[in-house]
Amino acid sequence: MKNQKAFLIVMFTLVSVVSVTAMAQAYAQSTSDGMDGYVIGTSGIYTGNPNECWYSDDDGNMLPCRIDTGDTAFMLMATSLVLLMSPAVAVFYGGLARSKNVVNVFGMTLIIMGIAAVQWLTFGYSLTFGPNDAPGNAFMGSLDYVGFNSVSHYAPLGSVGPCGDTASAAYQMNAMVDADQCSQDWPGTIPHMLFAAFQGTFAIITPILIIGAVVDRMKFSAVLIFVIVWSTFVYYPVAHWIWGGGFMADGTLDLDPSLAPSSVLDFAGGAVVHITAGFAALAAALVLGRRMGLGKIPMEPHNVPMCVLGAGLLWFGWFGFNPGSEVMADGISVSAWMATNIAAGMGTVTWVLLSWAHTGKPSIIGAATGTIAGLGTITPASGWVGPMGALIIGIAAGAVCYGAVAYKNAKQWDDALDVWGVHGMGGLTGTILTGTFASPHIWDTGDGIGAWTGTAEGMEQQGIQIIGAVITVGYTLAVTFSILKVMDLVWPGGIRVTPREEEIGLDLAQHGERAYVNE
Amino acid sequence: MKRLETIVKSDRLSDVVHAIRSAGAKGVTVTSIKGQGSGERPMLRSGRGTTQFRAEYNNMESVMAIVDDSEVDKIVSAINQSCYTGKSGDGLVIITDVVQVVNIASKKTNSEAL
Repeated sequence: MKNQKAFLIVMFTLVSVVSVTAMAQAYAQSTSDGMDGYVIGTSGIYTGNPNECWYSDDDGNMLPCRIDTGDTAFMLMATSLVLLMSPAVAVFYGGLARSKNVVNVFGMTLIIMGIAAVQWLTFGYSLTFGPNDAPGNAFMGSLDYVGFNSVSHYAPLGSVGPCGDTASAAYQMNAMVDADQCSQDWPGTIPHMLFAAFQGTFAIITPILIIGAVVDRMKFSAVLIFVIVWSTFVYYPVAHWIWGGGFMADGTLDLDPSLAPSSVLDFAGGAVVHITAGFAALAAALVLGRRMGLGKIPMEPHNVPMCVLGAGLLWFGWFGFNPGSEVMADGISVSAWMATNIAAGMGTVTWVLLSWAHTGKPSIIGAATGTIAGLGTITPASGWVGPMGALIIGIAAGAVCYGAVAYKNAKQWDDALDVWGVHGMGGLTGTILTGTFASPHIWDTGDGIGAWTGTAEGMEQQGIQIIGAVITVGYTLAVTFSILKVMDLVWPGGIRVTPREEEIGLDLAQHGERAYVNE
Repeated sequence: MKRLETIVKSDRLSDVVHAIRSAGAKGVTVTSIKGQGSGERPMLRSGRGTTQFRAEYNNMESVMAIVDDSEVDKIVSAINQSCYTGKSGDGLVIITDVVQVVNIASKKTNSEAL
């Protein structure tokens, strides 16, 4: 009977997703300028999207603006690197989990990769990066890009103009092109769909980070629905506020309009990815409650090499995550690469030294955790700070996250794999420190003025960062808590597995499969 | 016939098996076991290196040998020599009487069965 219910829920989800996709596709084909061969000739690829860069040739065909092949090649690689981070999280979390729950950890990761990818196509990208035309778009995108309708795989975003005078001309090969068909805006050198794909990998990894808090005890079926609801009501709005032109980016938080800083600086997702995932994890841990026997029986990582391998893969993938967030291959992506590497290294060293001094031996699980803490903390700052700023952020990452994990253990909050301590507190620290260490020596536009400069602009940026971080934390906690409480009430038997299933382990109880078979 | 059950720390296994066999036992049966006793259990890391806790069990090996009564003293003294450090946790030798041993292949019993 119980199995039938779970089966029905899964089927319902699948049918819903497929129907929405089919409707979106029908919608895409019904528009007058539509895609897929409705227009004869080379302009058959024309999407009719006014936010994309198209120009008319002499015969009246609409053709896509020039892209930069270097940028496009780099972004294809960066997108793939970020996608690799999702299974890397599975390896990292899998090593930290107990051997009876490893299959469940890998399973949750893989299924979320599937769900979030499809959800991004159906409506996620549209809600996050859809065009902002109405006042309500300060809080949520539109439905114009549902089913990737009007998302071109040829044309970049932005308005058409001369190539020698684009927003990024100083960095671009396009600057040497004598033509008038270049996008004037950012990100205007890669196809629109590639931008959507890159952002999609972020929408995939963020809910995956949360599962570290719910391992060992959340029903697999509940995870599926939670991810869909959480992405819709937490990730997409927050990403829209900060990256999609919402109220954190449109000057609403501008404390003093006479000074340059006007929006929250979050280069690669300190608030969007790490604060949302980390604080959602804390809410999830509190709603689900402690694992059976916490504090009485040891719940130690079952496979340290897997942890270290996972951390290493994440470090590698982060070179797509942070430098790729520039969406160009230029000086900023080089600077972001260096900042990422320095902070990851310094986070690792700091954590090992702290554990050595505090509890007597250099912990290697701690080293892997310090790596992730450093990477998570540098994420919002990576394109804004110099290498020495990154060094200080790396030390802060190790110290703050170490303290947060120790505090969590003392409080007996069962955020099982320390998502809050590492990602939540790391993202919060990084988002605030971005306002401190952002350096006007990084961008040739003079953007990014941190408090360390001692200027009024720096103080304003610091203030905006703190306000933005606090809003994100509060919103994430409140909404995630509500989602899970409601789910727990309406779900047959609650969203937590039975004590018997918990004792057997979710691998056998939920999946009927074991990670390690010795027969 | 006596049954000798020798419980030693895991890292002493090779030494103690060598000692028992050299002293005349015809064979041994080894079982990996966990236990709590007078031996100190190690401290392990926890909470990403932020805390530590005492291991729930020590990892031990149980070496079982069936021997003639006349060989018991010789074998026990060999075990003592191979494992003695003087600290608690070196292990135990438990000696019990055996009623009968039957070799399944040869159908022989007791000493001839070994």
